[in-house]
Amino acid sequence: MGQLDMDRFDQDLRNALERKSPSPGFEGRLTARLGQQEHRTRWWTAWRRPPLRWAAITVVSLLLLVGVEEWNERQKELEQGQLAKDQVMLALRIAGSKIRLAQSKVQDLSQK
Amino acid sequence: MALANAVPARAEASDFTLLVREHQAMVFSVAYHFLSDRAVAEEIAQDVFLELYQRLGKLQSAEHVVFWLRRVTVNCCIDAARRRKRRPEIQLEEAETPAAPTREGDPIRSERLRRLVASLPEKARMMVVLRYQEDLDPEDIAGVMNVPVNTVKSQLQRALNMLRQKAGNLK
Repeated sequence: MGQLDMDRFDQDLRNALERKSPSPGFEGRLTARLGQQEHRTRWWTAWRRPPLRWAAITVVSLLLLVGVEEWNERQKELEQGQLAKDQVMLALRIAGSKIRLAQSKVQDLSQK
Repeated sequence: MALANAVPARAEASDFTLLVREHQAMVFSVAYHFLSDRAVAEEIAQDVFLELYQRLGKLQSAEHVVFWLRRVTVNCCIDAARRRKRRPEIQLEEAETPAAPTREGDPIRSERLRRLVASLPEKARMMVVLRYQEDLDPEDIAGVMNVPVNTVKSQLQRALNMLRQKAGNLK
């Protein structure tokens, strides 16, 4: 390829690769995205501030504590209920055995 | 636009807007000529400017801004090309808006040359774009792409030889 052809080729390549503009509204779309990014950053920055973070941690901890207390109370009630049930069953068994004893004595007497 | 001093830490909106207006064609075009996809090129251009907004306080001068924009655009483009992992498909030409008054030239030949450039390997393609769109010397290209100067020279030479050969077959 002669020098003239090379120069022409270079110019053709420059023409082909000349700068082009993005489509209309590019700046507006960019501004909109910037606004969204700023909004997200504000939330994240607020969260990173110690007072807000500690407040959130405290609230969550309190809720956990209350939840644990409630659960313990419930467990106690269940245990007490089970105990009462066991006592009733024992009373019934004792009553049952006493009745059987009384029945056998009555039978003995009636046989004599 | 010349920044006489370092840009203040929190960029004034107007400064940023001026920078966008001044450099949007450059950033968009590098991405477009590299990826041959207008929509992706615009997305990349937006990402680059959003990043610029966060970084403005750290940039020292107008020249540094330009260097930074080119480097970040190049990196984003190469990442995007690797994510795609396929030959870039040339989009059917939408109405293009030249950034400057259109140079004389054969639009059909230009389109064919763009397709040839798009068929180059990624790094060589970017070197050709930076050389012929931005008029950068091999030394500047090496700085932007963070590769040795000799690598730029040899890859550029090889790419141009290939393009000339194939372009010579275009009639």
